[in-house]
Formats: sequence, C-alpha cells, structure tokens
Amino acid sequence: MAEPVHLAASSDAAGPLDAVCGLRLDEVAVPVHVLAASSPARLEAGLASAGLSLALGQKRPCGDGMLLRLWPDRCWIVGEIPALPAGMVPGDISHGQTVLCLRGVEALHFLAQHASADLLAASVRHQRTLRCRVGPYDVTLWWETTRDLRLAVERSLAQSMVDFLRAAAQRHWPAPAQS
Amino acid sequence: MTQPFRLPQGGLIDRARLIHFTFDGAPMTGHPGDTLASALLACGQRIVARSLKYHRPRGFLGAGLEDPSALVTVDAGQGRIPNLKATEVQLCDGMIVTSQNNWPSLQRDVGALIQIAGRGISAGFYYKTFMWPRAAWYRWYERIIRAIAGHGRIDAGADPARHDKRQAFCEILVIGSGPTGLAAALTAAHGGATTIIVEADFLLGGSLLWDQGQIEGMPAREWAEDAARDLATLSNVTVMPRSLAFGHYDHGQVLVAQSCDAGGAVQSVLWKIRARRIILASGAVERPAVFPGNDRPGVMLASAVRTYLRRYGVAPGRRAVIAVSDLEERRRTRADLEAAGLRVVAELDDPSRISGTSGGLIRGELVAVRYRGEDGKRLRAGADLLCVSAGWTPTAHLAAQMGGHLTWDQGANCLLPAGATGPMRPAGGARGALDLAGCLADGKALAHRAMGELELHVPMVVPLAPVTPQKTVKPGTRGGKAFVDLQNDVTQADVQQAVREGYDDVELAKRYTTLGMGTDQGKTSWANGIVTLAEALGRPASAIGHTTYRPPYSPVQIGTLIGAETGTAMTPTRRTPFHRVFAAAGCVFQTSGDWLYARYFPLAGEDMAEAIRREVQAVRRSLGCVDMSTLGKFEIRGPDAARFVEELYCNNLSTLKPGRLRYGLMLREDGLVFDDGTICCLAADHYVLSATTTRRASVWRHLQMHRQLRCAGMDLVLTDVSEQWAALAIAGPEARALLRALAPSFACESADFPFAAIRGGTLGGDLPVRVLSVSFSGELSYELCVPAGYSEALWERVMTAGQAWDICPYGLEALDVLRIEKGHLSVGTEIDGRRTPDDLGLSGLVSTKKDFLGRALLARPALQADGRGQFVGLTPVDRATALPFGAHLSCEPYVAGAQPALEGHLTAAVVSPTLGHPIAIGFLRNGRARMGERLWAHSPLAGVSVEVEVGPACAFDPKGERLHG
Repeated sequence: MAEPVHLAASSDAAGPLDAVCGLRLDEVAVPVHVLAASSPARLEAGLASAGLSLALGQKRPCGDGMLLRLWPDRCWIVGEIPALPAGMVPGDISHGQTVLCLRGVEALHFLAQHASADLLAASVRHQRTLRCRVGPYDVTLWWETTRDLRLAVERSLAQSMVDFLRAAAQRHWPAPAQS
Repeated sequence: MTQPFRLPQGGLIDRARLIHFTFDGAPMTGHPGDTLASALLACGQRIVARSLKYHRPRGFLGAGLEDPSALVTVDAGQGRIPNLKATEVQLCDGMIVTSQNNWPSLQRDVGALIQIAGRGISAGFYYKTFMWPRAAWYRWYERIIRAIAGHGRIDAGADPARHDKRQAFCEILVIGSGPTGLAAALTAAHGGATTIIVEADFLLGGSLLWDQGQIEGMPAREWAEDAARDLATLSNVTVMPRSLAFGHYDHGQVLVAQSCDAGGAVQSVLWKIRARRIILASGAVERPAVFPGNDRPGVMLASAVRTYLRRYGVAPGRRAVIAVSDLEERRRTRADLEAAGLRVVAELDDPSRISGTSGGLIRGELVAVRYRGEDGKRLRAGADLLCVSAGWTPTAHLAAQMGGHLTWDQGANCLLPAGATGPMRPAGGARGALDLAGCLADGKALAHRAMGELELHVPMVVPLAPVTPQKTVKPGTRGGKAFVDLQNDVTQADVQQAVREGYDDVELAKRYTTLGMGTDQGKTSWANGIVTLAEALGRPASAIGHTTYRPPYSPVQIGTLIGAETGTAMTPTRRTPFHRVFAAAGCVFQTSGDWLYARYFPLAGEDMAEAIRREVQAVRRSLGCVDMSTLGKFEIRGPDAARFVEELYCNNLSTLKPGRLRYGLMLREDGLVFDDGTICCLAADHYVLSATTTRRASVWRHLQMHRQLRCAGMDLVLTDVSEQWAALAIAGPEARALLRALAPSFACESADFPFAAIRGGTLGGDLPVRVLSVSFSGELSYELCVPAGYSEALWERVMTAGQAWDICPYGLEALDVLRIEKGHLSVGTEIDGRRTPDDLGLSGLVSTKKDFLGRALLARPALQADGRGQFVGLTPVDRATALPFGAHLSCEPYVAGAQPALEGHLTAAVVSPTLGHPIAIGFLRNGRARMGERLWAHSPLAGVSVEVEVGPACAFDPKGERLHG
C-alpha cells in the first residue's frame, strides 16, 4: 500500500560517505516487523508451520523480504510479511528502525574495523547477519554481498551514527594496519 | 650541525638523505632510520633533559621505550606534544624539539640549585613540610611546587591531529617482533592461523637489529629482515609496526596504540584487538646498576650502546668502561665497541665494583669512572661512556595486568610471569629465556602449543627453553646519590629511609618514595627497587612481591584514546523525530541524558526566562504543544498480558477496560518506586505501557527479566515500540478544539473521549494516529502518537490548525514549570530510588487486593516507619524571594558554620508564571502532617536562607478541574 503521508527521513544519509574510500551510505525505507512468541520453542513451531524454519543467528529469504532470527524468541521480517499462522501477529517497527545501506568495495572491511564482533570470521561471513556494536551504536546487520550491507539502528540514533560513519570514513584511508 | 659521533659506516639508516630538525633552537641533522635519540647522540648532544626533582643533567640510559630520562617536547607539525621519549620518536624533517624542566637553559638550569638542599628533600619530604603557616599553602607553596614540578607543558590549543579507534580479531596475536616474536608469528602464520604481530618500533626485529648472532646460517639482522618480508607476503598475517600493546583486558582483548605515517588520514589509531591466544614476546629490559653517580649523561645500558653502534651507526662516546655482569654480554659489548673504533679503558665483571663517577664541572656529563680493582685497590679511568648491565628483567607487564602474579626467581634473579594468564602465553625473554636459541625455540614452541589449544593442529607438547640463570648484582653502598629510579629521582637512600620510617611494604614504599611511578612505570627501576628493599628489610627478594601493574604499560596520547569521539561526536546523541522541524522553528536544544531535547522556543529578542514564561502562559491560557516522543513505549500482547501488567504495577488494574488508560506506579523488588507511566488497554490481550525517558532502557530490561523469571509460564509477547511512535502532546484549554480541527476518525467530544482514554484511527483521513487523553501539565491535553516517519506531517498539521488559537510550542523548561505547579513527579528528582508510594503521596494507588512486584518488601518496617520524608509543596512566606535550588529544610535559619537539624530538602523550585510567585516541591519529614508550618529553606552554597510555608504539593488547580476542559 502506498504511504498516505510524506515519510520523513531520520538522517541525512544519501550519497557518498567519503570520496576517497568510495563508500556510499543511504537511508532506505523498508518495512520491518518483529515477530515474537512467548518462548523460543513456540517461535520455532510457528515458523516451522509457516514453512519458514530458521535457526538462531541465521537469516533466510521469505517472499520478497528477509527473515532474520537474532533473538531466541523473536525474529525480524524485513520487507513484505509472509503468510503466518493464526496467533502470530507481527509488530510494526518500520518507523522505529532506520535501515542504512552501506555500499562500496570496502564496505564490509570498513565496517569490520569498527564492529565489536569479528565480521570477517568464517561463521559470520557464512551467516551474513548478526547483531553487534559498530562504534558505540547497537546495530543489526545483514548482507547478501560484502559490498552492499544493511545496518538497522534505532531511529533516534540514526543521524548520530551516520555522523560517526562519516568521521570513520574520513579516517579510513589509507588502511594503517597494513605494513 | 655536523654529526661528529656518526660512525663512518654501518647502521640501518639512509645516509644518502639528511633530515633537518632543531633541538632547543639549535639546527641538527639526522638520517631516515634514526630515532630522535640516535640523531641527537650523533650530533654530540649528550644532555637532553633535567631530572624531575633534583634537576640533574640527564642523557640516554637506554635506546628504546625503557629509557627513563630522555623526555622531550616534540612539535612535528601536529601540535606540541610533551613527555615523548627521544628514544622512541622516529626522526622526521622539520621536527622542533625542546628540552623540558629547566630554566633558563638546559645547560645552565637554575633549578639544579635545589640539590643544595640535599637530604632535606629526600623521600616524603613534602609529607613533612609545607605545614605552616596554614594560609601559605594555597597562597605560596602550592603555586611554587606546581611551577617547579612536572615534566613538559601541554599545548593548550586544540589537537590538530586526527585519531581513530578500530577493532581487529585474530586467532594468534604476537606482541613483539624480536627473535621470539618473529619465530612465533612465522610458526602461527605458516600453520594457517590468522595472526597479528605488533611491534612498538618502526622496524621489525627487536634485538636482532643489533645482535651479532647467527640464525640458520645468516646474520641475525638479515634473518629478521627475511622473516619480516615473509610475514608481509602472507594473507593471514597483519603486521603492525609502530604499535604499542599497552593494555591487556578480559577475554583476550589487547589495546594497541598505533602511530601512523605523517600525512596520512590519521596520526594514530587505538586498536582493540581480540585474540584467542596471545604470545607475549616483549623480550626483556636490561637492568641498570645502582652506584653513586649512576645517572650521569654517558652512563648507558650496554644493550643501548650496542644498539646505537650497530643499528644507528652512532658512537655514544670515545672512551668506554664496560661494567657488565654477564660474561657473554660483556664480550659482545667489547667486540662491538672495538669494531666501531671506540677505546675500552676498563672492563669490570661486576658493576657493584664501581664506587662512583666524575662529571664535567659545568655540564655534569661523565668524564671518569671510579672503581675498585680485583685486588681491592681504588682506581680511576677517564671515560665518557660507561656501559652497564646488572642483568635482564623480563617485560611481563601485560601478563601481570590481568592479575597474573610475577614471582621472584632466585636463579634467574628477576620477576618471572606464570606460564599462562588467560589466553596470554609469555615467551622468550618475557619469561626469562634470554639466549637467542632459547628465544627462537620458545617462540616456535608456544605458537605450536597455541595452535594445538585452538585445534588448528594436533596438540603438541613442545618443550620450552630453560630460564636463563643470572648473577646477583648488589646495589652500591658508598656515598653519593645512587639512583634506583632515574625518572623520579629516587635514590637507594630514599628506599632505605622509607623502610626505616615503616613503609616496608612494597606498595607503601612505592607511594612514599614514588619509586616506579610516572611515565616510566618502573621499567628499569623495579628490579633494583626490589633488591634494595630486600636488603633494607633483611628479607629475600622473593618475599618482597611487586606492586599492581595497570595499563598503560607505556604512555599513550590522550588523543589516541579518544579517537574520533570529540565535540558533538563524543557520545551517541538521540534526536527525536521532531528534531528537524524544531530546529527550523528556532528551538534551543539541550542534552538530557543521551537525548537532544527541545529546551525552549525563543522569539526574536527573547531571553530564556521570557520564553519559558510565555510558553507556560500559552499552555495555561490557550494552547501549547510539546514533544513527548522520548517516553518509552512497550506493547504487551497475549492471553496473559493483563496478568503480567497486574504483576508489574502496584495499582489495581483489573477494572481497566479497553480504550481506557491509567496512571501506574512500578516498584522494584525492594518495594521502592522504580518508575511511573501510563498503562493503556487497547484490547483485553493488548496493552501499551509507557515509561519515563530516563528509565526507558531500564524498564525494558525490567520487563524482560520478569517476563523470563517471575512470569516465565505466561503466554505473552513483549515488543519495544519506543522508537516507532512520535508523540506530540497538545495541551491547554483549546486542546479539544484543535483535536477537533485535525479531523480525527473517532468522536472526540468530552463524553466520547474522556480523560484517561485512548483512541486509535486517523487524522484527516490519512494520518494514522493513537491519541491518549492524558496530562502532565494539568491542562486538558491529548498526546498525539503517529508512526515516527510521519512526525513532520503531524507537526505541520498541528501548527497550521493551531494558528487559530496561537499555538505555542514549548520545551523541557516550560514542561518542568507546568509539572511543578501541579506537583507532578519526575524521575530522578522526586522518584529518586529511595521513595515508597506513601512518601510520594500515592499510597492510595497501591492495591491491597493483589500481589505485585515489590509488595513483600514494601511492608518492611523501615519503609512504613514514622518520620520518613513526604512529598510537599513549599512557598516563601513573603511570596517574593526565590527559593534556592537544592535547599535544605530546617526549623531555624541558616547561620554560617552552624549545622541545623535537617527536616528535608527541596527537589525543584521555580517562579511560577501562573501564580506569580516562587514555589517549590520537596520532601519533608512527616510532611503531610505539617501543613501550614513555617520552616527555613537554606543553601549554604548560595548563602541564602528563606522562610517557607508548607503546603500541598499541588499549587495550581488542586481539584484537577482543568483536566476535563
């Protein structure tokens, strides 16, 4: 359904993050819903009955969207809501979570230098989703390719985090860790 | 300036290029590959600093970060940085270097006259002096001491350099790139482990850069270069030169400060490296000898002399005396000196045979060494260089930082770390294996062991190299100042005096004498300090122990620790959904917690007080609007939602019907009030709770904890929707008229939409909204909640429709005034974690018919006792004098110096624009029984004492008639 009223962005992220390191950061409007259950077992049962079985720490496509399970008793539906069993009512948090899109050849490596979790670890690169801190911000991350990442951050922190990523990008080149 | 002490050949420097720099204004030159210290020595600058206390001339004792004395101020185009060790600074073109702690010049320092005071300023003198006259302390003594004390002068300007913080992960982190580190890194890397090797120096190799040894048939230096090249080509290895590992923390985290190339994007990076195993290959520091005059410029560690000769091609002197306890070290030192063409005038097998040194009359640098011959005869050798070594001290600080205790080993004659501290494994010199072959073997063995532990290959029990035994060198005992700690000017006599005065514990002795303090942190002094303490106490060194090791191991720039987090980026800042439109409306913001909140909206020419008064009056007389988006909002869905809410709040909520809301009080387990807010019932199985801005995160944790513990079996789902909704409260007598004008999809007249109700629908047919009839201002008020992305649309509609009633946006200040007039509670001021519902005058809310969280402990006698502070209102008797913030209440006026019995305190005070006089709220002992009583509100800080009258907390519209319009 088309949005009835003008939707205000929560940050000014729209374009190159830093010309030198070739990264681009954009805020994207994408529906995000939280699907929760009273226990992990109930969530698993509910997902299984909808044909959407998903282990903790993993993601999977569902319809045109994505299902992320990064909490034991809840998961996120990013994009269109699939058909769900009766009693499973997703809660809309689309306006509360700002989804940022970080693109560029170095996107994952850039973010990895500021993430509290090892984004380059084999398990993470395999799952391609996790919750962690980037700088001082709690974010939910997912990606299909390492050059096109999605970061969800609380709306009220979005502008602050964009400013942080800009400052980090200015400092990113040349990578001083390499000898 | 020429380089008279530069050797004609040798060294890892680029002789084809010159680097120009100045020292105290004098132009000097060096070469790429030089440190500042090697360049200064090459130019013949042997005195570079004055000591902290006695202002004695100091040169270079070491050649790396162990040097305690050569602190200088460096301006390399990125601001003036004091207290850098000349031995660590990589030379660069245009560097301006100045010496510190002297006046008028380094060569002729007036401060050196302080030595005349001699023993009068021994250890702890400042604990015993400057006692009287009392007034002189602040007037004179402190100023004088501050002027004299300290190293360097910080640049007061903003730091022009850019710094950053980054994270890195690896399987094996190797700290140090000497023989042990390189061997470990090569083994780990070729074994397939992701490996990071950090090295404080700008070249990899450590002692191999100046060692004469052979490895695998090639000179040690070439082997190091080959190993460094090998590591650089491996994709699973990150090589980090100029990176100081200075802190070891939980779960294998090591903090590393990396200095970057000039002209790059950043000048330094603080790395937080988390490793599964850490091989501590930080080597060992050579121990100086303690004898009278051991601090003269020209007295150097033997390893430092060899470093200057072989790595930098610099002769630290012309005529040398060797006093090295270890035979092999002594032989190598002599060989290096002779190879460089220096004359060795004496060679001592025990540094304790030195009885003193003589210095130049004016500059004080070494001109002769006095010592006892093998037959006991007193001898004197003219020399400008004394190479000393009393053994080696393993650099195990990082192992000890995590609580790993170091133990004095009698055979090795030094403090040794345990085999493992968490994921850290000391190796090579860091665990006392000092010979080259042992270091190489240790590095390999520990890397194999680490990989075995990480299951990167089969577990291997590879033997470690034995700890190298070292001779005992007793500190000198003859007259003259024999320094144990060169940086802090602590002498052997100071340590002995500390023991005599009862400071016989190592921690006490440290604090009394300052031994091992400062930027040096005892790198060259602690081993001698322990030996000196042991001698003075008549105990073995193993009984002395050591002080607590804390990060940083070596100084790190504050800018590096801060990274990019400066100015507005210092902490994450939350902005409300209305931030942009508020800014356009000229709002003045303030930080409240992590929120950037609207404080007030001034008109042209208005000051803050005027703006607040206008905003308050607008709300009382007509219409205002305020941002309420920062409140927490939590949805509870499920068949057990009502039961869960009943458990959490002390109110009786069983009568709450769908479409209605109720003010609720949440207690902690201990019975004290935790938070307040509204409980909205959207349906029998669907509730929305609100929490105060301050407690938003903690209430969410509280809900989840009780969901999982106390209410584990309940069938319900919690969702934090705080960020989902933007909330704009419209308040004032015309609030309903405005709501009507916004064309809600539901009936909004008083009968249809009473106070304490919630409605959902749209505004104008297209803007989804939830409206709560709830008030914090005491006026008729509606909280309009829309999905946050529609906040600006809501603002535009409210402001456009509200023009008919001169709508006035108001901020946090006006909101506070409005709530104080009404006697409403605020978390942090009234709900301060010490109050029961009864203290707050809300005992009527507490249900006696149900169980709820906190009920049991609310019944504690102490919480029900007479005499507790109760929430009251206060008004100045003269209705004019402003009440001081945070004033105390007592029965008598304040008299300077007296301490009247306290009856309570004020939590908030304002001049009420509505009532036209000052009012306050606060807590008063048995307050509700003391209505009409007169007390004194006094503030010793402000020097104000005001007579006040006790009244109800609610000073305006006590019956709440305005709530209903």
